[in-house]
Amino acid sequence: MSAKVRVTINGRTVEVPAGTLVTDAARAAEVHIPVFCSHAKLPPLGACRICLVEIGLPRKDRDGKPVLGADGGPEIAWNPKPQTGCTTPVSEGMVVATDSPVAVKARKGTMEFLLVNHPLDCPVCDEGGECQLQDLAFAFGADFSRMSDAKRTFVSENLGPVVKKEANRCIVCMRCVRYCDEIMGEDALTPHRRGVRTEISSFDRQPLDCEQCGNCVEVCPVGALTALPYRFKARPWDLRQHITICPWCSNGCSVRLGVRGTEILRARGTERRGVNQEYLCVRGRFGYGFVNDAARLTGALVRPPGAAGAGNALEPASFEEAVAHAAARLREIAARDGADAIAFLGGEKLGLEEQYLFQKLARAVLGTNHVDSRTRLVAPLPGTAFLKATGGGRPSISLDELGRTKEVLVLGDDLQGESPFLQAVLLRGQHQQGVHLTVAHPRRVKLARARFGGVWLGLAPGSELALLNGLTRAALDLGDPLPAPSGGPPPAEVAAGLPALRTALAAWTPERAAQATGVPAAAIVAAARRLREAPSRAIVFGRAYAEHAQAAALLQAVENLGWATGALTAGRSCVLYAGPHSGTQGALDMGLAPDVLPGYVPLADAAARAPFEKQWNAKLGAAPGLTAPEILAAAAAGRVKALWIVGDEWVRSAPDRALVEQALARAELVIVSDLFLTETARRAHVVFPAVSFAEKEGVLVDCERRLQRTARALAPRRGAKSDGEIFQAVARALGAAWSYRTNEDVFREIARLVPGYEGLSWATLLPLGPQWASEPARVAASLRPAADERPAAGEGLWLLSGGVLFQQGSLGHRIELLTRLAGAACARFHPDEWKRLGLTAGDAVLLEGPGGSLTLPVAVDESVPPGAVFVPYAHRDVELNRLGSPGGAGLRVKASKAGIAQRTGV
Amino acid sequence: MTGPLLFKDIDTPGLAGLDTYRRVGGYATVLAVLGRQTPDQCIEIVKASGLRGRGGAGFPTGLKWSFVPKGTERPKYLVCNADESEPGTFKDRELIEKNPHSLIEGMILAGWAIQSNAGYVYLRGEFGWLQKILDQAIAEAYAAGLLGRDVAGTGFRFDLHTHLGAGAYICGEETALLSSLEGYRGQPRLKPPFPAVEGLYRCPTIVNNVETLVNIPHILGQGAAWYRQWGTEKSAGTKVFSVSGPVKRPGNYELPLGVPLRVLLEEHCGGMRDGLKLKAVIPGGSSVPPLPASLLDTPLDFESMNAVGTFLGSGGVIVIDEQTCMVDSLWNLMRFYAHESCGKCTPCREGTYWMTGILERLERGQGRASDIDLLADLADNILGRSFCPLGDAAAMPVQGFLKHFRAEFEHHVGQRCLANRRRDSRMGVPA
Amino acid sequence: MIKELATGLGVTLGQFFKKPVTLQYPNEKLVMFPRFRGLHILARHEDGLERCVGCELCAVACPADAIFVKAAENDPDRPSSHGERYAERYEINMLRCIFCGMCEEACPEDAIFLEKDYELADYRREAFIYTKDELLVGEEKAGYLPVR
Repeated sequence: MSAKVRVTINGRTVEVPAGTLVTDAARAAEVHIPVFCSHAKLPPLGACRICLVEIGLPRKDRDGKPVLGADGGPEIAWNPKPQTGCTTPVSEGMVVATDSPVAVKARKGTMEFLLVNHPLDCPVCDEGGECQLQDLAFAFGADFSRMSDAKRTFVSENLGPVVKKEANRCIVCMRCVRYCDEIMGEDALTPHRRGVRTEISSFDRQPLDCEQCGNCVEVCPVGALTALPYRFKARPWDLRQHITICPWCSNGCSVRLGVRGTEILRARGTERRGVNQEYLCVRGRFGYGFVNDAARLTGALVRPPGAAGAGNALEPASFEEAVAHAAARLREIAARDGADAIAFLGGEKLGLEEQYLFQKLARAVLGTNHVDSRTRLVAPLPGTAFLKATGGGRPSISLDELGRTKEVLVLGDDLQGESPFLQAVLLRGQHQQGVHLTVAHPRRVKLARARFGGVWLGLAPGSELALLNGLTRAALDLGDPLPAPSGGPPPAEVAAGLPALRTALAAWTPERAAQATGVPAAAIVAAARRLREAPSRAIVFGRAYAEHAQAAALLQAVENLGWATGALTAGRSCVLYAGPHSGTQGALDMGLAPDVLPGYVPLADAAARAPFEKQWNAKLGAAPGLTAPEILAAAAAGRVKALWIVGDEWVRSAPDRALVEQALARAELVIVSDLFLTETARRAHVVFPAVSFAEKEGVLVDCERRLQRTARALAPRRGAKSDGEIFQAVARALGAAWSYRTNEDVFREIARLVPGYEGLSWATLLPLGPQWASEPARVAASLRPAADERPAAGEGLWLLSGGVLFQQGSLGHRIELLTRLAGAACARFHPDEWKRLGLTAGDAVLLEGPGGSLTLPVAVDESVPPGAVFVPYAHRDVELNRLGSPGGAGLRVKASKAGIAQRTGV
Repeated sequence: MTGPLLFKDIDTPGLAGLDTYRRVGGYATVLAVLGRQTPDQCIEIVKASGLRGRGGAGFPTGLKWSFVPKGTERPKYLVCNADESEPGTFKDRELIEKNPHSLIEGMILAGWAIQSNAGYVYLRGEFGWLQKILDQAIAEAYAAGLLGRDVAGTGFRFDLHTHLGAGAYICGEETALLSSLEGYRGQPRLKPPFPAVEGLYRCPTIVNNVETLVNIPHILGQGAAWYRQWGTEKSAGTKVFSVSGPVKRPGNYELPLGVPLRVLLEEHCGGMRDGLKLKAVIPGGSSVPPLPASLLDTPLDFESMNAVGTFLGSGGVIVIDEQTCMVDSLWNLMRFYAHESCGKCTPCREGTYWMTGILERLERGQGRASDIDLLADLADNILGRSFCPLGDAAAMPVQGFLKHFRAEFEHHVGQRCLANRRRDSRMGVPA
Repeated sequence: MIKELATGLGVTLGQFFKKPVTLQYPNEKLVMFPRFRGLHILARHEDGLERCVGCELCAVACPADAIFVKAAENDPDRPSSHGERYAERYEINMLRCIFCGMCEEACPEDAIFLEKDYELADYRREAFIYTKDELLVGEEKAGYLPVR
């Protein structure tokens, strides 16, 4: 970093890096310089003029030596005009005054100007009480107004369902416009007209057609933009504010919940806090409604023994009764059919401590290794698969660093729907830090748009492996895997695997890869070259690969590419797996997989297993259990007789709808813990009412493997229990001597026991927890040819699916705003395909896959390649697993016109 | 019209055509300089000539050119600021209309001096007909091999484009002009980086006024010493003054710098018409403080004007007679600035609006005694605190008007003045 | 001794012919002085609309934390107050209220006043939570503002 300089602000001298802005240096000196247009994430603008300060520099003589004044100190040449602190970088010896008469008059004058046309309607303004203009008017303004003339007025507008605009209050700081453009990449807002008539609105003055993230509202320092869902709901002083972690994806954004009484009224980001630093996406900002949903479960339900059906319905029971019933049935089945007849599924939405308890209950109390959180997997994967592909636990790149990485390859996912914050990080990086994006996706997703200056590798659906092989081959043609930045060689396993990989990839010439993927050979070679030769590089992938039928091969291929391009080195991993849920990474870390214990300790390793057996006071089975798809098959076949499904709508998330129905019908005991009576819960024998993210505290691990504390914002809904309490109650009923009072007790055990988590405690995780890493890597690397599995052959269109921004799983269906924004789910076709199928608007289409069929309304979409159909998976009306895959990856379906669509009420 | 230098042949019939322009010596300097003198030599000559920017700020042109980084790989741009929107100024219009080739020649030479291969002429939105004239001249120059891939056979590439603005005063400010030229909203940008380092498309860019560029062929052709025969030590050369108001012969006059204001108005413009008496003169376009009649002997050069608290500015000399109400005049000016404020920064956006309201009240006889001090304080709060000089341009006239004509403002408190009432009765406005 | 007795009785007798100080409450009611602070009212504009806009400044000014306000957006066709915002719920807990008048001071809309009613006794605790229906003056008192 650059050299330090000394700067004196109001008599306080601080040492800051050269080039620091005066406002930031003042923060270091604990002097308050007010700002409006300046924002931590945006370049300086200097428009609002509230940060005017008096600045002086030491006077220098002809030789460049400072002239000394009468008092022996350097003589200061004060700039005759006050300067904006937010645009002026400090330099050595600079003297800043915010309390001199010139600075005070300038600030007061600007404050007065800001209020000239401000309506001063604070009593009815939602920003009132937390308004920066209000605060600064109190601090620096006059106590009366000299302005007695008429103010200019605008008409207020609703800019869509989220943003209310009251332009009279606007101070034209342009934060919203710039944030929307530079960080969201949406460019949805613009100033109209000029001078005092400047008005921010959408380009065509129509409702905003954008991500509806509401960040414009967040950054607005006044009440010009307010959030419609929070309109007039409360004043800020009514709200208890709790900072916790957003539950909607694996990016781990800090979210500040505003609670009045027992109700969450809003969610906001917090400037300079968390990984997201104020940013929230539409789900994070407006997706809290399910917590206060009246349909939440408020007591346990128990079905008397026997098949579900008329006369054998779920009946309310006390928590104790339900626990006793569940324990008795589990004990009975274990005694009769062995512990292997019991399987535990789900847990990707739980906190770390609960995930740990879940598998401890399975392994230590019941003695089964059939534990898997990855219910959406189509292909069985070892528990270490994702960690291995992302560097085996080597220190991982952070999201902050990702935003400064020069070349980023995004594989397979539409980050807009899956990881909105990750997308924002990359877009901001692209705009401000020179990040170059390469996006490999069959559709031209938002990140691949031409205006972001990246390269779109529009591969043919189903050719993901071919593209990875082609890229790896092209990268290896440029040389061996790169040494670590510190100069260390790649690990021995990588070197050992290199010859075999080279041999296997010999066939994957750029031309062959081009033929298989439809991406020009030159583009593949250029992408590989950029990745290898850029000063820094990273690879991002997500659920599209995880839920792929070829997932095992794809993950190996990602790892190969990582080593070949230098995204993985001996000391560092720049490959990120952005999983689907807030607890995806934690579930893997905590051993919610059939073959590993917490910390990726292999079950087969007796020595590594020993500390767990000692701590848990139990003998652990060495044989790996079944993975989720295997459990599904075993349950459907009647081999697994009891299932415990936690926080997972298995009916929709399991890869095969028919099979999952069969499994649930055949199982003797299905225990479900969830917030709502989901479709899965309806088929259960015992239903435990669980609490939401806002009602419990614990730890979440985000996609960069950062541990973050979550906080309890609300008392638990009456009757509901946290998952940890449920697991503990059942474990105790089964005779285990568990005595955890809080999740912190559990975390202490984790920190004692789990490799990679040593020495951590809740206290060390605030305000921003560390990214856990392990030296040496938890999982050994390997460089070997990815199995050349052919994707499911067959006829018909490739089924493309992906996340959509406004829906993410079953909880999203409970939020009215999100379902409204998401609109109706449609099967989307390229115009050519549309013509070929003879579709017209308003038609419905019948999609037939290996697992069954689905009828959907249709739409034309040029971003879908010909020969494919795009169906978003997260809508309520879409149950993609009826076709044979929950995420729809790597599947072919037959499409035929099915008459007129029945309009659902959406 | 005539003048010693720029206006020497201005009324030659057909001067806008290439042949006539060549006949009066046009493009001779291009042939003499390109490939014969190094760019550095050219910059040194312009520095030595003492030429200062004619757009209003008076920054030494040669010095500005020397700020362009040498040896950079990025393209360099030359932009001619023909957004002549300062009220009271109309010199560039006549220069382009009657002698477009002199501007083209000046730009080729300036392009050579800073080693730029592309030039843009940014014309104000209302100059549509000038764009046609200029485009015609540019086409002629291309046809004659004076523009394009190989200027006059020297191997130097220089392309010239015209661009019509959308009608905003702010686009006369160089960074706002560049924003507008790039297709963005015409709003000023942060300085530093200055355009010479990071300007158009974030490349080194020189922005010069039309009159400045038109001087270049003469300076490079005849030398710095020859050029210094006009003007004073620090304000060398000639300047075109656009005189408007109730003088006998308003119009453009090219005079050596340092000529007293009285000489311009009485000798050249023939004094006041209709027996009117001169009350005040705004010497440099509407943005500068006015001078009262008592200061009419001040020489028209940069330093002397600064000494009496005003600026030479763009040379737009606005004459105000005794029958004109100064409150009304200032209100008129302030309406202009409030309308043209781009809205980027707070003091200019809100201050001009507020001052317009106060002046309207005063002019209508509804003002309060405290309004005059309020106006002065607001002008003080705008001056030096706005993002770009537009705020200063709105504040300085207020201070100047109040300094010299405060009595008229005080007279206006609570009543209308005689001049207003007379005008209203002429226009049939009920009292 | 007789004399003293007579003097004493005289005083007593004298009182028989003076106007009594005692008020026969509840048959007679005390007229409160102008600045007395009793039960609150919520006032109406001349057009009958509520003055209160639900800004909650009274609630935040209240030192006893006795006021609860929940605002909502006016139905443009049937507005409750001027502007966009009105108080959907407005409740004062008279068991907490100390009749200090800070709510009145804080109100930017001249909507709340402490009036002269002092008969606040009741048998049930719930009855002391005065709701908006009870506090809001009737339509017939539209435009009424207490004189201070």
